[in-house]
Amino acid sequence: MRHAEPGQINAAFRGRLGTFTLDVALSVPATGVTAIFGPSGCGKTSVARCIAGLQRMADGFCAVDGDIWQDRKSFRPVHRRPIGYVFQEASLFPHLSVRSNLLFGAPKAAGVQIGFDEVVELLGLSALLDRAPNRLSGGERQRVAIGRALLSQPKLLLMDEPLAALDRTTKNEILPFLERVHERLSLPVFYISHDMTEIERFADHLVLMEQGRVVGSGPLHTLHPIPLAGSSDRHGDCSPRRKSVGNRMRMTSMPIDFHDIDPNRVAAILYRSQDDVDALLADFAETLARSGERIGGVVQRNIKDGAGCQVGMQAIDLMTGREISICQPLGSGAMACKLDAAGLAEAAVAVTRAIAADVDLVVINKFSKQEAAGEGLRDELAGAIAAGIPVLTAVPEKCLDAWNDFTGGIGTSLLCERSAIEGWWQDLSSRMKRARDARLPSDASAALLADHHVG
Amino acid sequence: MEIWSAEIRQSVLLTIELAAISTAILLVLATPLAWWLAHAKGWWTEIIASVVALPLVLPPTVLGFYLLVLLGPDGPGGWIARLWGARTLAFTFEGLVIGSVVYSMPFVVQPIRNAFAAMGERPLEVAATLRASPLRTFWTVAVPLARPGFLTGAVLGFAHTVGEFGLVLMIGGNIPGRTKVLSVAIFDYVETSRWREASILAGFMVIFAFAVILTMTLIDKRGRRIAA
Repeated sequence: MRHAEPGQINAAFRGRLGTFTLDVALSVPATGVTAIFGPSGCGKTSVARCIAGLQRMADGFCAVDGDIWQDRKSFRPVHRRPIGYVFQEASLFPHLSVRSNLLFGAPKAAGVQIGFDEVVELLGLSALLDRAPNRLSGGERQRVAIGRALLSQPKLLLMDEPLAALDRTTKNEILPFLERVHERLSLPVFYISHDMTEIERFADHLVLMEQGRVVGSGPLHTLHPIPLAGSSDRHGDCSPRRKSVGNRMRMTSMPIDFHDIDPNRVAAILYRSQDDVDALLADFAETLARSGERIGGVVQRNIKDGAGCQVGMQAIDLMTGREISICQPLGSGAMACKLDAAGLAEAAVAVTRAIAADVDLVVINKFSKQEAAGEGLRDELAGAIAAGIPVLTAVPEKCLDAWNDFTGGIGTSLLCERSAIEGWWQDLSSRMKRARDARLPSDASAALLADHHVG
Repeated sequence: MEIWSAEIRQSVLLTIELAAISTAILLVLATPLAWWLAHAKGWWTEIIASVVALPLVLPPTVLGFYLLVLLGPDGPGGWIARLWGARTLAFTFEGLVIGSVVYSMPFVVQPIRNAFAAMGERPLEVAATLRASPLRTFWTVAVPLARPGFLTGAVLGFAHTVGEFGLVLMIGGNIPGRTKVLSVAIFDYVETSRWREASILAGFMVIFAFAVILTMTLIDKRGRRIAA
């Protein structure tokens, strides 16, 4: 990839950045939106910075549409590269008004690909022009930053997680603007993100990165399975290997056959506590909910501080994406957290609403100590099961007896290892996507859940 | 005797002239130095920074002694003075300007360096991605964002030049109209028991210092309000 091709963006960078090693080579079309996707810290931003020339790798090559920006002999400085760069934080110049910010990089000469008025209209900035940046909301600032980059008349637009610093409401407010930009301008874009839903909305081409390397590249729809966003430690053992561990009392045979799921459609995944499957189930459910599946329920997640200590618990209503409650640990040094009474009440409302909406699947991602003791989200689980909607939960191995008492033995409990579940979910989410693309009825996910074979 | 005697007026005007010229030279020299100190990453950066900061801790007499040697007839200052037929830079107004610049340098460099460092790399990177050359970035982004640092540096540089005493005594002497600035004049009046003149000048210094600081603060506050 170390040669310039017309119509292509060719880039290769190799070297160390602190303790991190970057070794990437990519060749993507110089049209449409190319998304660079990968977990945090995988080197996505470094690639964008290298292409922009903000980071100089001694061993690097970069050519855009046949125009060489960097090779062994030459390095074109940032300000001579026809790029637009949108940073994660809007980084507007605080001493300039919105209008002056927008015009900072705009060439004086005529013959531009996009004019000032057009950008103002496209991004809805007319009311903001004479304001100072510190009088804008986060979303408005990012819109100005995007407009400013566009007005510099770039031949390549680099967007480094432009929405990552924004809350969900603001994101939803900006996404339509981004889509309009991509529709209206035939400008090649590098869009860096760790959020698959953003990428699915406008990317044409996908580059997958992991630990400083490119692990896949191709048109968006051909690239599957996509690793679940999150920690990189999972990627080490994503093999299709599945095996049973521990107590086999309710297992049929391995590999897991999801034909065994009970007609009552209550599925519990038994897991060993070190496998942290409840968090995995939360990731999975949130990913499906975000991609538009009709999933309801509540997922709970531990909140950890920088040192990895649990400092609270967060519950999310899957239907609305709303955060329900963050509560404190049970006591000093206690590892377990639980929702408080107000949080439980809100969780109950969330599950009731999901049942009323007749979702395809209710996920409550844990049945653990509190539920076993008759507290926590036990009533919500019971309500969902009673409503006859498929219910998926995760039960730590040590709570199996309590779970059996609770369900009266209905449904299916499968003891699984983390890697086995991951493989199944990746496959399931891609199957769900195909089913949706083929415009199958909306209860496809339930059908898939019931029919799915693994192995 | 009138309050504003010719003698007093002369030393006041001389002091203001010295401080104004020194501050202007300081800003010109300190800005690139501060920029370099804020952005250079080598181990020698802090060595240069320490050399610049030396006048903060050196007794003015020590500094004055070395400057006297350097500016005197046998030092580089003498060679330069010979270019226009003079014998030495010591005990001249020019020598006083050089001394003031050296003495006040850390007070100007430090706030500007801090202001450059505080803005971080991001605004400069943003400007570069918007096709601004390094020079344009410096003038249109770095300098406006470092404005409070420049103001602080200018005020401190000006005030320290007005207030310096030991150094002036060492390299300037006490020549009316050439090197007899306020601080030396006050000393002179006290020594010759002219308390009235001494108190007039001391009072003037207090009011002047207060006025300078207040003005700068107000300018800075107004600047912030416009930026906000």
